[in-house]
Amino acid sequence: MQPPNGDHSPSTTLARFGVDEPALGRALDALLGHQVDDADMYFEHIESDSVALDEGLVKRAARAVRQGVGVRAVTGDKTGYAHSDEIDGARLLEAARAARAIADAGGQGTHTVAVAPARAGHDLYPVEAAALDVPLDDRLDLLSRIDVLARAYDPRVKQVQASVATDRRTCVIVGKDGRVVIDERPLVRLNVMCIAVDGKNRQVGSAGGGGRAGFSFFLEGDRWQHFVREAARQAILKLDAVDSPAGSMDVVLGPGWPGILLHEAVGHGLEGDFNRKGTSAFTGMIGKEVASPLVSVVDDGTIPGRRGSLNVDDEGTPTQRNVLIEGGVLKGYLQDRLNARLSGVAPTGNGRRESYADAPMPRMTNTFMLPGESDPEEIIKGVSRGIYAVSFGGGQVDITSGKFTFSGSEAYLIEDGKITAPVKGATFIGNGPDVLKRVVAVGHDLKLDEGIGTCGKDGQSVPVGVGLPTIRVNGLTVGGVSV
Amino acid sequence: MSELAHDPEALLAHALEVAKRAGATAADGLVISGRSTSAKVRLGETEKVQQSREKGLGLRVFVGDRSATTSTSDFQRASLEALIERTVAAARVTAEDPFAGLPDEALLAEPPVDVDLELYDPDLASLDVEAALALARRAEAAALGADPRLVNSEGAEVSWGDSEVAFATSQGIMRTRRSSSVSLWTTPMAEENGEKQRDHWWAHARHLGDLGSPEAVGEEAARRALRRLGARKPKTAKVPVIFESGVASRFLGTLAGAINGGALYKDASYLCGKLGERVAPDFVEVTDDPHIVRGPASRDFDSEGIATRPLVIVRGGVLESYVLDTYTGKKLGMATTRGARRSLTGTPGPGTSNFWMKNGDKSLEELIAEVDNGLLVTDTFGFGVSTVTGDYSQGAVGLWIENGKLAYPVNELTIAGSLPDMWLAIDGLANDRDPRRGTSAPSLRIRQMTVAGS
Repeated sequence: MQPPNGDHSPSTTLARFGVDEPALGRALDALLGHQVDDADMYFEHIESDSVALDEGLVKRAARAVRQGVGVRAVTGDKTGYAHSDEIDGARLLEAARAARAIADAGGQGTHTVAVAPARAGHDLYPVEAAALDVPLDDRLDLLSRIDVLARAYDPRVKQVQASVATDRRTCVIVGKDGRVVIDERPLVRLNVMCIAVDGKNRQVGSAGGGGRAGFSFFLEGDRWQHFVREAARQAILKLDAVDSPAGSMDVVLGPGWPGILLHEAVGHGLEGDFNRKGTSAFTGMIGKEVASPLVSVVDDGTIPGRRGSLNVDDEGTPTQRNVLIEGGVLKGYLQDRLNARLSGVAPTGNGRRESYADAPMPRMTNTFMLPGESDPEEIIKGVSRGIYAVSFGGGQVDITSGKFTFSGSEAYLIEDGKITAPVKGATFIGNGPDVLKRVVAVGHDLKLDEGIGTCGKDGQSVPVGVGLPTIRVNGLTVGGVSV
Repeated sequence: MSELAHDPEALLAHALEVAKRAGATAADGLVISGRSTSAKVRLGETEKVQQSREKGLGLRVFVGDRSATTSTSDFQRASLEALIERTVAAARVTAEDPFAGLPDEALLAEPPVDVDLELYDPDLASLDVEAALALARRAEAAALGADPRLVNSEGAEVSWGDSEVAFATSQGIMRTRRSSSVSLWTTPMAEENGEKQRDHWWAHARHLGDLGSPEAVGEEAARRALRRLGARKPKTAKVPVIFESGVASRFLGTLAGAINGGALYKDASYLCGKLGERVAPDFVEVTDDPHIVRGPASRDFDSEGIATRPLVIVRGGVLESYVLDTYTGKKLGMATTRGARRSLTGTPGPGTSNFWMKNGDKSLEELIAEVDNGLLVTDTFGFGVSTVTGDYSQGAVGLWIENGKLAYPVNELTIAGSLPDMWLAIDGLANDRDPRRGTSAPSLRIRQMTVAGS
């Protein structure tokens, strides 16, 4: 099943799925009718390897192979979708007929499939350095060194869990017009979690990163050591943390991962499906002021090597840099093909799906705020009483009411312009269409996150990136136990 | 396409044989084959119909005390065999772990419960797409027809399917289980004075005949969306908090996480070493019963092939049992509670079945009537709960209670506390547990939590 390494020619890639151009043509014949506005077939082969360490031992090594095809026919706003993990000519035809059945049938024709360039769009990540080809020993060795380094950080680090996951995905997207687009996507991720124990006090610290790269990504510079020290440092720090205060407060968000604020507060609400249907708190607000003039937000799928980047989206549209908010004014939504067509705009390269088993939806790629002019230290100095948050767990949003929340995993009190005690258990909650209007300072220190984000929508998870410069938000509700 | 793909038991037997030939000293595995369909409408029109067929093999191999796992949906002989050989080779280089291994043969030999759990409905296969779309339309129409303020919809969807699990070990055990399920949800959107609110309701059943009326689902979804309109942000305060049963069930899920052997042996739970201790008031009872007929999480054997048994988790407020599989049991010096769960990918780990908290004897209205000034939480969101530290801090939506009555809706607030304190502070249970949930608790009241708002 595995082609020789490095052979990524279109015919070889198609052959991996046991289909050829005539078979694809027959499936398209079955899929397309006069009334079918759009259609595609999405073949996918995923190989994932993971190794995990706990109690100082690499107890688990796992390898997974998953492949299948998803076939879609769209009429108006109706979608028929069929998928199968058994791929052959007969099953493909069956899936195509099932997908079309929803579109009021009629019409027939003959369709030819021409294999277009092996890749379309960008060339943002290496396929040669496919992480899966790294010897298992190298990965086991890295995990063992992680364990040693974490425990050496402080004797109160009692548990270390670490894992390395490497993933290589081959996508073949056959469009309505018979054009074939192929993308090979590597994805690697390293996670480190430390538990520090001091008497009855037990705290967790975690860190990690990755991207569309090979395993060697972790060995560059002192990258893996940095992740390990961060996880250990965070766990130890929290042993001395005080309960988070509760109430409305001025909050300074540090650069990088706190960009999750944008993802939750505005990103989801700007997805084209919700806005076409009128269920988003941002519906009908294009051209309106939704943020402070200091705020510009983009979603950019074209940054080389980033976790959220893609050469083409999962509908074969090349990704691009989409300006969502410019100078506080809402500029555009994120679109897949279906919602773009129904909204009368162009697709933006944001049609994504978790796997062949799922129909695409408008999704984010790498979402971040452009840098401003303030000095980060000055921003902190300007706060008399508030919270400085530098790392977060997860976040969630109700796109209709606009209310979002995200949970701090590393945060501090700011007292008289100085960072003081670390706090634990802080959760932030706000209103998406309103929160960015409360941004009163934007730093010049834009940073993207380390490559750990996974976004969930409608049961589908996709890798994403976020980024933020240091910003100050006034009057954010902080949830804690201390009143 | 390989002929192996069409016979799960033959596929499993072949995989175990290949593993043995490659040098595995023991192995177990499972094949899950499933078919499912979903049919969705929005504003009365068909929006999406999706059909899927999936089949996957998951395999765990041992070479002495070392192990590795693999999973695949590619059943061509050559690639399958290469993958298994590669997995056995990987097992040779992982760490030796004296606690690793298959369950005792004597335990595996026990026959599963001699009761038909009725997890499979043969009639469900006859549900066709048009009939499903009609059910979805009825639910959505009932929701949108309930009030003129319900002006929009995220749609309504019916999904149904069945799956078969075949499980085998190199010791010669082979077990299979078929199950089916059908569910329906709808999410209407209400709008008033420029404020938008949505909420959803759902139904779920093993058998089509148990799904209930789609209108009832739509009407409840409408009620839930409407009651959110006019929401205010409450003042920050410490007050009594009532979790409506859905939220209480999520809260009960944190107990399931904290007593999971996988967390306990790593010292990663606030309930480490708390077996036999009081964790809740004496009227709190929690069981994990895999034998409930047509139960949402029922199963006759666990993911290591062991016949399951009902388990008392909390009795009289005292923690009586953890949830363990063979490995975590050995690590803790205890027997497995027959609670192994496993997906195709990865190793087995402990998990719960029908994890239910016993009903109290009051209605939700009576719990509310006993509160002068407090909060009824109808939904929570976010990720601010840690079963390692016990910290609890969540975004919340609800209704403010004044003088024993629901006064007005609230949102953009958080609730915070610590799990061990919250459990001990439960001071009332309602009688409204929803048996359609796998992890299910009745509405419950906590004496005091911090509510953060303006």
